[in-house]
Amino acid sequence: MADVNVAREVRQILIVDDDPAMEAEAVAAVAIFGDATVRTARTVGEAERWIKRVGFDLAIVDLGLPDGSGLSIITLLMKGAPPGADVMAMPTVCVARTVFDDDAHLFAALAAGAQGYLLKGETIEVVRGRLRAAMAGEPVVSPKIARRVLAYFRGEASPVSAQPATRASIPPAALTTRETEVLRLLAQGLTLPETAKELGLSVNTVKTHVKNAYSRLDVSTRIAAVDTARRMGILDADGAR
Amino acid sequence: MRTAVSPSFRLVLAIAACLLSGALATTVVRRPPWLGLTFEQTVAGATLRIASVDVDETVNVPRVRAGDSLVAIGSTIRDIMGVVPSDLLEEPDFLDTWALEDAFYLRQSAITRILHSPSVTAVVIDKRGTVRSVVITPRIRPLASLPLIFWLQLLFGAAGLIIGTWVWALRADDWGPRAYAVTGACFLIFTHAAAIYSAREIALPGALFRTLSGINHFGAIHFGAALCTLFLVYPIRLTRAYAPLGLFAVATGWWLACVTRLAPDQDWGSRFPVMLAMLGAIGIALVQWRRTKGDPAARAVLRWFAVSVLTGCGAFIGLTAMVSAIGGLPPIPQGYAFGFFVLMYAGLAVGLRQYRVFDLDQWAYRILFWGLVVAVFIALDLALLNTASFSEGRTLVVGTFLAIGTFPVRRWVWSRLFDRDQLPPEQLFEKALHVTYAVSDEARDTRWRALLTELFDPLHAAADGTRDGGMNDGDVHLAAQGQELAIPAVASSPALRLTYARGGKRLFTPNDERLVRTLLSLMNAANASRKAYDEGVQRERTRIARDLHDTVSSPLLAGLAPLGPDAESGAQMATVQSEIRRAVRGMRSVVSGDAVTSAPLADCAADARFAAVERLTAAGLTVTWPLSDLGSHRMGPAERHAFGAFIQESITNVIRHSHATHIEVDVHVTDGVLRCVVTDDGVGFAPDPERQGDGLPNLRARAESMGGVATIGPRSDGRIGTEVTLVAPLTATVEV
Repeated sequence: MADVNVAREVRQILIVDDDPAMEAEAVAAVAIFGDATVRTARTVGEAERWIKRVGFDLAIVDLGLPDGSGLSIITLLMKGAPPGADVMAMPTVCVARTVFDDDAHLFAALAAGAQGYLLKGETIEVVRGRLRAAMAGEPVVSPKIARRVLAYFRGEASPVSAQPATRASIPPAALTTRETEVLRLLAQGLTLPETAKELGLSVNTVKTHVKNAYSRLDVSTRIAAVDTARRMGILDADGAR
Repeated sequence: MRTAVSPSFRLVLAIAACLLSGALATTVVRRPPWLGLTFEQTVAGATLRIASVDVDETVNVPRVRAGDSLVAIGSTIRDIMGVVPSDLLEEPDFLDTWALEDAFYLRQSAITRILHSPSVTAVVIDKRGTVRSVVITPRIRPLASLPLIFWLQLLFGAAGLIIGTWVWALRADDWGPRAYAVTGACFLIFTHAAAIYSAREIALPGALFRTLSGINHFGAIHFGAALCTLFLVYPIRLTRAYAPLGLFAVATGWWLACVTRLAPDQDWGSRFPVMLAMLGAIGIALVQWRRTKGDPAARAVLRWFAVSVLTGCGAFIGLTAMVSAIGGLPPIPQGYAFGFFVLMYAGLAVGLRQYRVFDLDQWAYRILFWGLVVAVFIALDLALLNTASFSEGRTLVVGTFLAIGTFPVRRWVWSRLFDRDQLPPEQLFEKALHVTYAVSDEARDTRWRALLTELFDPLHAAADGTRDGGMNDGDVHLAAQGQELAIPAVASSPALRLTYARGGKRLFTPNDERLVRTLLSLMNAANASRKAYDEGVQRERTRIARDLHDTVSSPLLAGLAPLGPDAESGAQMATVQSEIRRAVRGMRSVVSGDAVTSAPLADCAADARFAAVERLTAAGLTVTWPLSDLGSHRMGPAERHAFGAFIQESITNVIRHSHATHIEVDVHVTDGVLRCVVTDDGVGFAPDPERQGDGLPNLRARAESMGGVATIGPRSDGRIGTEVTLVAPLTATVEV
């Protein structure tokens, strides 16, 4: 495993939000990254134009935009570097931003490839903490997500909908004992450092376990998650703007 | 004068007339002395085979036995005349010329004279061909010896007159029933006359016979005229009164020409006029058909009449017409064939009484169909009778095949005729749903009317508030003899009255009634579930509104509170922002449904812990929050909300006011009681007026909404700092 603790340098930042106040808040939050260039977009179209021209290190994407869903921007960013850019460039770190933290919104964003999420209305300190964590390659964690992932691997539920998993044809790979332990502690509301302390592991090891567990959420499940989210109207009816 | 006679009196008169006529017929048929012989009804053959014998044995020594054939009779052995099967001819009309008829009457007279002798010598021949002569003493004919066919004809005739009189008596002022009553009287005349001569042993006096035959003709011809009259005046009166009168004049004239032998032969004398009357009736019926266009009730009656007349007269004429067509005698005695007329009679009565006119078409079809089957059966039987290879059993097989094998065809014809408007159940359901789930009451009403129009294409569909003296909220029912269909109010649509199905081409039927009833029950069921759904949506909307008010509006309004003149604007701003955040969090919980579902206490504690640690860490505080076993306790929506808010607000207070660096939180359950302690190492608690509005009353309110108590005070371990405690019972422990 690569060392994920080394924060990558942030030079280009994309902020997509149609609400000027929220945009301003995000701009204020990313001040922690020093003199990085910040581009802003108000619509999916504008964001796409930026993405074609610039390779971004960080993108903060509102999920509910006037001309579509931020999920499509995340998906586009995850496809890789724009043509002509440095092929060795690392993929953009995407952080989804939404007003609602229900499972469907979070999982749709994570499945699309978001590294983290921000809830609108959180204090700037919390927002900055999240952004730092995302840039440090920290997996996004919350008790809700951990419970959902555990339930998924128990075969009880799909990550997206509350319905019992019907995709029995793609049995999820089992979690390791350690991964399960980690997720259980996270599910009880422990933070990553607390979990590490509890298990007598390093924080990095715990992060790796979490990431491995997330990566086992089958690729096809991710696609299904996006589809399901789209069908459920979350992508179009996102109230995040 | 007409008003003076009550319907029941007319009926009594008719019954009296029948009894009188029957008594007369019985007397006349018993006039000729009786030998006690009953002959087989044969179509062909040279001799009169005796079927049964009822002879006084003390007088006659070599007995006559059943199976013997009567060859000749005479008053003495020297004065005998041969008898032939044609002497038993049931109906002299079957003879083709006047000469043959006269000869027949002469023989009848001669035989009658022999029967009047004190003793009659009969020459019989047995099966072995042995001829012997037997002396029989004629007696007065006993009533019991009269054949079934005699009584049947009396009965048929009586039925015709009584039914006719009954219909007429009930509607004496209508021309239809009048004409009908006349046909009844004529029918009585010709059946009773025929009853007498068809029941004779061998002979009647020629003059009597001829008179009876004349009476029979009178009845038959006038019956035809009356039938034509019936169609002339019913269902629609086509002509003035003189046309029927003219008809009867022609009938009487023709009859006179017949009995006076002015007509060239039997065909002209009696068969043609009867046939002509039937054809005339059919022709007039066609005119009626044209004239009743747009009057489905009249047409239904007309169709029914046509079927009645066709089956009744048609069967009779078909049978008797075969006499001239194939020669010989009809396959069944004419007396039985009169039964067809009675069927026709009953049919006409139903039509005239307009009894369930809407059902008539279906019955007409059934009768027509089975009539056809019977006709084919009989024709087949006759055709096969000549081919020796076919036994009776086989014709039965063929007939059965016809009846059963044509079932699909019948089904098809039936569905073409009567089930055109039937829908398969799933379509019916779909249509009912389509109506029920219209967006508005107006749209629903429009769709309902559109569906009815699609189904029945009525000329008019009007709100039904007039005829029943109010809204029809009862059942679907046919009205005005099937010309109208009354439909009760459903959902937002008023009661409707549809008039003239299929633009007036047909009547509403009980099938339509059932169809609408099914539709209505489907729609009522769908409506009920739609209402329940709407109510659910409304309840949910109310809940969201209430939740938004509780969790979003109040913090927002608190944030809007005007800044005090001497307040620190920075601190005030912080309060405002904190309130807004609280509002956003509240909104989140409303949307995610946390506000309506129960959840395990452990999950609630985990969520609260994670959020608190994140916030506290970001604010630079350290946290100790040990994990504890919270069991399988669950929290209801209200408790969840209050618990989460309690933790949040306690933390907010610590961050904002305590200047603490470390915070300890302990959540555990003892004996079903939740105990939650938040301890900080800050400046301590000082309940002074300056710190109003910092959420302490809120904490108490949260605790109260959980049915518990919140205490805020100095740390219980004596150190500097504040301790906030929540103690609340856990009620929602049952798995939801």
